[in-house]
Amino acid sequence: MDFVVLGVVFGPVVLLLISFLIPQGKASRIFIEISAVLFFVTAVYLFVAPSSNMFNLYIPHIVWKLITLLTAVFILVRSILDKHYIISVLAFTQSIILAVFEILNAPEEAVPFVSFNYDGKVLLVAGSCITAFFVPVTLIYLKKYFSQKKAVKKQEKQVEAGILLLMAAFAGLAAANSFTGLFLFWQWMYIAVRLILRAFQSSERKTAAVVLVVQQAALTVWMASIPFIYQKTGSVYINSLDAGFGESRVVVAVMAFALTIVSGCLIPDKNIWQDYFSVPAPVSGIITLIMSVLSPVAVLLKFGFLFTGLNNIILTLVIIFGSLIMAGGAYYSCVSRKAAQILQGILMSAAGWGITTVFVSRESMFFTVGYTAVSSITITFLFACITILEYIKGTQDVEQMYNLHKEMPEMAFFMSAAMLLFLFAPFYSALQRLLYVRFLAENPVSMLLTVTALVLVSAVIFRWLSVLLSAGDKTSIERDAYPDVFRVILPLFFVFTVAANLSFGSIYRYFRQQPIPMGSLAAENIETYSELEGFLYMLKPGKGLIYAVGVIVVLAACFYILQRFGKADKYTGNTDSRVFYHYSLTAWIPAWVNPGLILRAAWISLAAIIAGVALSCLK
Amino acid sequence: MSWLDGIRAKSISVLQINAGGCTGCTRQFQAALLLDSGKGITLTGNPRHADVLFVAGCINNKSADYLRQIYEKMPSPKAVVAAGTCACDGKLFRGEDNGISTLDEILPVNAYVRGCVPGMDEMLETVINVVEDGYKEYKDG
Amino acid sequence: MLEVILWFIGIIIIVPVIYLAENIILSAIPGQNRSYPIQPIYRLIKHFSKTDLYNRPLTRWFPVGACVFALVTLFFVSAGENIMLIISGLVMMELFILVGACSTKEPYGIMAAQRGISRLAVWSFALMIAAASLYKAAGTLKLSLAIQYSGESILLSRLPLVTAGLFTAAMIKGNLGYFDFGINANTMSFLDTALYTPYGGRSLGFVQLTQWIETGIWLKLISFFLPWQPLISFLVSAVFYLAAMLLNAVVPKMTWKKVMMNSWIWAGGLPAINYIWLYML
Repeated sequence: MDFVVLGVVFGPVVLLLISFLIPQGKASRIFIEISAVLFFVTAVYLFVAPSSNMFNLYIPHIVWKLITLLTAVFILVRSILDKHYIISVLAFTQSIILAVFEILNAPEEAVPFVSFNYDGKVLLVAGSCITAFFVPVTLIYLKKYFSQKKAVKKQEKQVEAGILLLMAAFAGLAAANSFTGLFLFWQWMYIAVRLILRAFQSSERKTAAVVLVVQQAALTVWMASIPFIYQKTGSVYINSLDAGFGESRVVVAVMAFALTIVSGCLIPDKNIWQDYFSVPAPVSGIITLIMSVLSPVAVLLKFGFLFTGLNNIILTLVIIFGSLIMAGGAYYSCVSRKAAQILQGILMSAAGWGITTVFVSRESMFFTVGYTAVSSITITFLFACITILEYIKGTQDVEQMYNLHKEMPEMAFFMSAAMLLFLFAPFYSALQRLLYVRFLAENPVSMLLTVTALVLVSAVIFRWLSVLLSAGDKTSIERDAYPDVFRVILPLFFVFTVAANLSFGSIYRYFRQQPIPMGSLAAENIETYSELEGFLYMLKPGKGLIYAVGVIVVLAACFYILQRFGKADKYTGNTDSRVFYHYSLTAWIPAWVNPGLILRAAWISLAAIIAGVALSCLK
Repeated sequence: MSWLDGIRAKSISVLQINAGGCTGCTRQFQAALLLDSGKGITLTGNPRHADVLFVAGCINNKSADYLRQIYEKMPSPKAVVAAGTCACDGKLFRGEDNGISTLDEILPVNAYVRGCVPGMDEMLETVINVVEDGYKEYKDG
Repeated sequence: MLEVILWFIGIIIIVPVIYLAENIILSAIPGQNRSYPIQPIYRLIKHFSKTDLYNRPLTRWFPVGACVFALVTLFFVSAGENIMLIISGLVMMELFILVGACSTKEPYGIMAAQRGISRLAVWSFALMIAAASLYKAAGTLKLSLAIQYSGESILLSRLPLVTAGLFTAAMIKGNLGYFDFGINANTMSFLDTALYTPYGGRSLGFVQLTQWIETGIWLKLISFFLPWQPLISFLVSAVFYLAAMLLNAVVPKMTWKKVMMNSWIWAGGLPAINYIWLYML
């Protein structure tokens, strides 16, 4: 087992344990920041360097299994102490299965417990850069937040520990090769999210939200299926699934899909999201990004080969489900005014995009990995911006940002440039690439949903942009309130975001040179696909790149002119606009149509149909 | 008349304001637009798009404020036309201290059209002439 | 390249010709407003000769940006480029106008911008579905290749509703008929149609120039879906547009919510139905 891989997965946990020794305060924060940067550096090293066998360290599988058992028992004890009895019952079941089956029965196998493939590496780099740039911002924000709330230091510690554990869990999920591994890292993620949520909620009972229970139930089903899979294939490793199943392959595929969806909380229903994301903006951003976007895509990419040989009905339904998540996320970002909720909606949409394209073919898998990585980096950048804004101005209402280009011109420029970059992919490259993908293009409903989501997301971003660039009267921000750390991090993060967006095309090229790890995926027109004209094609400056650079130059010119020639008012009349009725993008929908309800009905019925079709394939 | 004024006179956007009165003048003007001599004149509701501010009716303190605001929003060159007796001098309604003012007390007026109600052709010709003459301000004597 | 330049000029010229025809016809109808045949051009010159009067200096630069994007998009559409490129050009153009409207920080400006964003969702949806259907029907997104296909096996017969939906989208962009999003409906000419309330003077001139070019872009875009020779198709779409403008003079105005419903039903619904129908064939 590669030492670096182990470092990525286990490093944060070790650091977590060390961090408990450091007293809460500046030292602790710096320690977390350093570990986030270390995580990033390691991930980049892993991405760039070929797999080295220099530092090999063999960990027997029994150790991993014992860790898994320990985790399950920890959850059991913790849930009993917290009086979450349903969870404790579930955790008990998991522990029993683990102890009886995994530790007593399952043999040692030759496959490493954790190792990265190319997709995993790209997503890991994306996730680690998010933590490296975003975590410092979050920590500074949280310091102020907790000092205002007069919270005890324990809570701040909890969040920091949660973030570290989240990193480890994500790295593990991207690297896990077996069902046991996925279970273990999902449980870590559960603990991390639980830790973070606990720090922000007053009543303890409330944290056992429906989602957490459902998540644990899903993981229990997951655990229970391991003996079944072992019986069929003689192994609990994901790659072995291809061999052992005949007709029941459909059930396994659908189960993997459903569990990923549930564990990632990717259900287009506002009630579920609200439960989960009622925490401050940056923290909810980190959770959404890692738990709902990057991890599910990373896991589903592993199962991609299961879906290629399936019948069309299941694939169609699954793709429709993915595009429903897209449309749902876009809709909920439409109806919200809070910046964090809008971004979460867009993130959900991006996750739906990943799920829609992940199964279809090898070509679209490239797209999925690239797009998911790039869009999550861009959205995290926006998350960082609104975190800083909330830190300084105390609000994250989109309508309150109208004065931004006078108060903080660089921030307004960064935000609008990032938004425009985010738009380029959907508007030009993305739809074009989706149309070339066989299964998606053969599926009118999902394509319509996808287009709807694109349109809504771009409308939301436009609304935001038009507020960002609109005029305000006077500066109300004291420049001292802007900490120096932000001044350093924000431009760095911006440069990184732009670089990631511009090298979007190069990611395809990088992939094209790689041998395809799972040979069963169809890749018929991979050459055409990677040669597709795109906006952001670094190696071959097409019209798109010129166009993108042109837009940014025009934007920068506008800002420059504003700063340089922005004279005093010539107009002496009443310039303060009255508070005006806010036009929602959905205000035209008649009152008797409830899109939220329609979305809920749609996902429930779709889930039921998918389950029904999957079960009918058993016979 | 320069060539530019000639072109401007062929496309005039008029913003009608009834500052408080019987609305006879504004209606008369709307009817006049159907005449052939009113070619090229359009009505607009938006001060940003307007060239000529066409004011009719008695001006009281409240409408005076709004008139000033509307005038400031119009891009220059711009003209103000006082139509009808009420706007020109407040004749019948103007008492000593009843707060009724004439238009020239509030805005620089370019032309007056007197009469109650003024004739259709007079109004059209006034509006066109004001623009053709290069938006010159009216001066007594 | 020469052909592209000719189209570029031709598309710019056709729009004032349509206005001219509209003005001549409407002047002949009793009860309609009297106007000079080339009054739109007079109006454009007039607007450029006026000053900007804004409380915010940023506002006047956005229409210029929009105009630049309109010209770039016009070049793309003349060359029969990829339809997605044209869509993104149109969208960027609209973005600049909306942002400019919003940046005046006047109530009506913000209102106009917000309506514009709602409107944008409709027509960009129609365009994207049109792109997807075009790919489904012709196997390419490049319009110059699709037009060859159109010559062989008529594109219109496979995408009739998409064409109709695109035409509706063009009407939405021109604020015509039942699709008028304008805030004040009492302006009596096409070019003043007032989604662009906060603009005045020179920047209104730029906005109108942009809209002028954009109308040409839409007409050319629709003409790619028509079965005849490029020139004839373009003229046919122009004639249809003229008919829509004439109809506009006699059609009552509606509240914007109803307009929005209409737009989604016609501009969003027709292409969507066509797109689903393509799979049934």
